[in-house]
Amino acid sequence: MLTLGLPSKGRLQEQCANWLKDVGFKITRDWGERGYTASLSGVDGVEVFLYSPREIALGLLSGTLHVGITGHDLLADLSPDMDQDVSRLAPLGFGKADCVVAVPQSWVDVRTMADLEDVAARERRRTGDQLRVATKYMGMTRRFFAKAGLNDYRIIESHGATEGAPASGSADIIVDITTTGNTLAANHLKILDDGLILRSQATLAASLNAAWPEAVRAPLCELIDAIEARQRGKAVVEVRCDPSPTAADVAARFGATPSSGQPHTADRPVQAWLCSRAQCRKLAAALRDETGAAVQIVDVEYCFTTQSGAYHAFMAQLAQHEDTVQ
Amino acid sequence: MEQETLNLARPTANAVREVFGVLGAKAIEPPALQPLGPYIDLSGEDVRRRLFVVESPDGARLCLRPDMTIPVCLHHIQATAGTATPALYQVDGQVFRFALDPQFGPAEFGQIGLERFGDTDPVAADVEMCALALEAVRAGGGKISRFMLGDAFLFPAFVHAMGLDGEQADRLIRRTRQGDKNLSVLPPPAMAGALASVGTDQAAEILSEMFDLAGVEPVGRRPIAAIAQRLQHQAKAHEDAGTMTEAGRHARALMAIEGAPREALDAVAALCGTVGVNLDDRLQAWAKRLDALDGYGLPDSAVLSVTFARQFQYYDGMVFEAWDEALGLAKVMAAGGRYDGLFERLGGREPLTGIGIMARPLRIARSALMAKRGGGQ
Repeated sequence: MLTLGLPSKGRLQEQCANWLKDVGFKITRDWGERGYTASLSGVDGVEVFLYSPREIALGLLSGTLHVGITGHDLLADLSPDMDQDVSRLAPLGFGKADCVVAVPQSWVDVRTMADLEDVAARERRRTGDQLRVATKYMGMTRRFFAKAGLNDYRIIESHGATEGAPASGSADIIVDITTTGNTLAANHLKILDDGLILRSQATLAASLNAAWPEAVRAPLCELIDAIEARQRGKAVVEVRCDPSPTAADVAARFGATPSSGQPHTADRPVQAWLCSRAQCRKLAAALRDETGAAVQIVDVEYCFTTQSGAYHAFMAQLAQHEDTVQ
Repeated sequence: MEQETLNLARPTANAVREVFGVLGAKAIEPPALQPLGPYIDLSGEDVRRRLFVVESPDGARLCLRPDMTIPVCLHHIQATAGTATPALYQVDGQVFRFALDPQFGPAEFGQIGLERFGDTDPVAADVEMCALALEAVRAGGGKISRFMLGDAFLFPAFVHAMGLDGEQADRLIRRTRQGDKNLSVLPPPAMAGALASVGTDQAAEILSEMFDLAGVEPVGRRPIAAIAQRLQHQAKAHEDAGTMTEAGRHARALMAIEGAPREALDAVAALCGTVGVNLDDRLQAWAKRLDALDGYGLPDSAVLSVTFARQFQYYDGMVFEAWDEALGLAKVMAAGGRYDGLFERLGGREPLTGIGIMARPLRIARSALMAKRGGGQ
């Protein structure tokens, strides 16, 4: 069975459930609201586990989960090189947050990591103690700071209310996630000019370290196919018109492509075009003028194409990964 | 690790012990569990990544020793109540260093070393210790593909001698050590100019008032005076930007020097002459060392490099490493360096010079086996 890890509670759990439902898969928890397992309607051979985002990230990195939805920030923090351990199949467009380096607003002399490096050295000379960084992102912080040439500090592990650490005196600066920046400001902190470590969001990822027998690949293919088809479908509408020899030129002007994916020919003239929402009305009007016939615009739910997408890319990556590990 | 290597490691260790034994050092075995503080203080998160950290049940933070120098130094401080008493110790035991890459070999490996405190003739001691390390490798049959020589004192001395003020000099040393190619100074925030021409206390007051007006609430333990002081310094550094860039250019020229030892020294001397920096004492000491080392048989592959540095940052004099590059990441078979400032930094009450060397029998054995099989150069 394909093991799929999904967030177990909170807003993220809701957003994931809604997102999957939109694609066409409904989650039903076993044992009511308290259960840790669930089933997914619409695809066979998938076992759903409800974990914390951190546990999902750990499972994907170690290979105990095949696929899962978790924060990009967690994957990046928990693995020294996440692209060696997981393949990010699709960003989901929610759960967005930036991982940043934030310092007190009153440090008006500190705008960059280079300034911070200087201050770290000065503070050590002044107090005898190293600059203290409060964060839950040990891995990410170490790598980012090392890249910036900053070594003279120590990490204070903080798993909640990290923004309050400088005010309470338990740390000097923080590395934390922020969405609006309001919490940082409320705690009298500011983000360094070059202090953006990572733009994170909820991500569907597959493990390169898990075992992928054939039986497990089929449900993955179905899932990814459906996700991509839905994403493509949402991005376009279908513009239906009478066939006409010049319709192709008109369509090209608005960046529209044939719905079937087959080119317009005299024998097989195109009667339906996929077009962006931004351009569709202009295209429709132009086609009506061109053909003299009525033109309809229809919502597209799914758009299944013949081009290979994330599934094939993942399989290629998996093959390469298996070769490396051999 | 192959059985043949493991089998050879024991006689290799014996050979190394015999070589080091000529000095008649006192054998000690410092604890494997060491306080974490000194390792963090002296090297930061960079070394922290390699440490096996343990927390004792009473909350104290300890680590498994990644080297022998700090443990021996701490032992000596305790044994002499921190006084500058000369001593010579031999240590023989496991050290612990984590590495993701298996090419490094096991995380726990044996090291035999000598730590020497309070020499009356440091240059002679440098030579003797370096020669012993070379001999230890050769006694074990190790093949030296490259012998690296460096001087942790040289670069900082050059920068200070260029006449930069203490803070700017320190910053230049730190930044170039990190490989920072762009040493330009950022333009300071506009308010720095406003504070440039007043005293520090007044600057702190002005800044404090500005915070009140702007509704900025200072948090954390960094005093407003420290912020004001740095702003003033930034304003001045901006004025002196030309000097810093020029100094950076010279520093980079010095860092580029690497080659056969005598040629490298000549290049350093030439650069010092051009820039007007006097490091004659330092260079003469090196000439003496090289003359003496010739007598012991410095490998043809010896290279003197200004930027060569060992993993721990407590060295402040001659440093060296004997490599067999066929061992890949595990190439360091023996090494050493001078650390005159370490004793006091670790809590000694008086200054005491120090120099240490070590050899790794397992790596020397592996090198010997590979040389035998490959019929190397």
